[in-house]
Amino acid sequence: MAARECLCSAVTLQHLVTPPQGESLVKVQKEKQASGAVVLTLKGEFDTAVVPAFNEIIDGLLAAGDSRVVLNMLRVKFLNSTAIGSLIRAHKACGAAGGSLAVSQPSEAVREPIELIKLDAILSIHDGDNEALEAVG
Amino acid sequence: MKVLKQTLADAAVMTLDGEFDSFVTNAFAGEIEKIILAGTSNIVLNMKAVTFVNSTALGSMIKSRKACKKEHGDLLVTEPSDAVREAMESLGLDRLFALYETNDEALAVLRQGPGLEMEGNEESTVMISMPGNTGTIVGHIKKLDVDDMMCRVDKMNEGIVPGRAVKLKFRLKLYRKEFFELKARVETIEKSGPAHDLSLHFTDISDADRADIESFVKDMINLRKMSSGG
Repeated sequence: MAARECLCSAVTLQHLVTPPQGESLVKVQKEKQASGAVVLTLKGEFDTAVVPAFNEIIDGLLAAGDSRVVLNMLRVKFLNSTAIGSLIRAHKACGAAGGSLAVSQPSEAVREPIELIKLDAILSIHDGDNEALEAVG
Repeated sequence: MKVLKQTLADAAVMTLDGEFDSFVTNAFAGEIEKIILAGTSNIVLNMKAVTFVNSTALGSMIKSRKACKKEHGDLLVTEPSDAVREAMESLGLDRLFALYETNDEALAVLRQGPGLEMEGNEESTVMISMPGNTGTIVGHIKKLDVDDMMCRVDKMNEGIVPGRAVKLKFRLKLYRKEFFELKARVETIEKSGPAHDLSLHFTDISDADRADIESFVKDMINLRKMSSGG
């Protein structure tokens, strides 16, 4: 219940990212919760071309002192091996900064490759934003 | 620039110290050549203490890497200093060279040998067709590298013989959705029980496809290391 209240009082920031190629492969929406955690909602195809922009967003959050991050991946239609690598990188970086990163509502296109490479045990994966928010504290 | 060379049984570690510019590229290329002539084509290049690197030096690293690849080895860069990393990233070379954080990590990758073993669910189907022949046979990719693949075929076609030019079509669904379509030559055929293992050398592949295969192989080797707790 506490997590839901946080969602209600959320401060919303729109933050859209377009990869260098010009096509908008992934859109990122950033939302800061009252609890201080940040929810990033990704939409689109998350592949090698998008990784530098994603890494920059994570580095930006960490530089601003935000190391508790939830990644909502419900609307991610494709996730490739380089993108999985950047998720692991983000997971490690948030942990090193004293926070943590949780993946929430992964689509099949996200869950399948992560399980295939057997990295589901390393990443913290949750069915809903509330559980993920609780996981990052 | 100072160059320190350490020769191991199956690899060589070169440690560079100082400014890597046009004045020292010849000496650098000469050292690489000596190592390869001595029979080692797996080279780790430690660049922790390199304070400057220019485009001529990077060009000579690309050439050295090609020379290693030609002998079925590789040249991996470890512990790049900020100066090295920035120079490589600005030219997109961080995608060409695998950058590793420690010498041990790079040595482990080199010792595993070239290419990526494709296992279990990651296995991809490859369609092999021959110009002037209507039959298409289907194989499973067992090992993949930037210039070669090994695939297992259950039902052989007698037209497939060493030296034969073939067309390949396959997908690496963990990397991209589009198919890879390229030309290759059959190098060797080995019987493996009722199946046959074909080793294929890519003869005509676009730069984009090659870069994607290289990136996929590098990703998978790194991800596997992480999933096994490394």
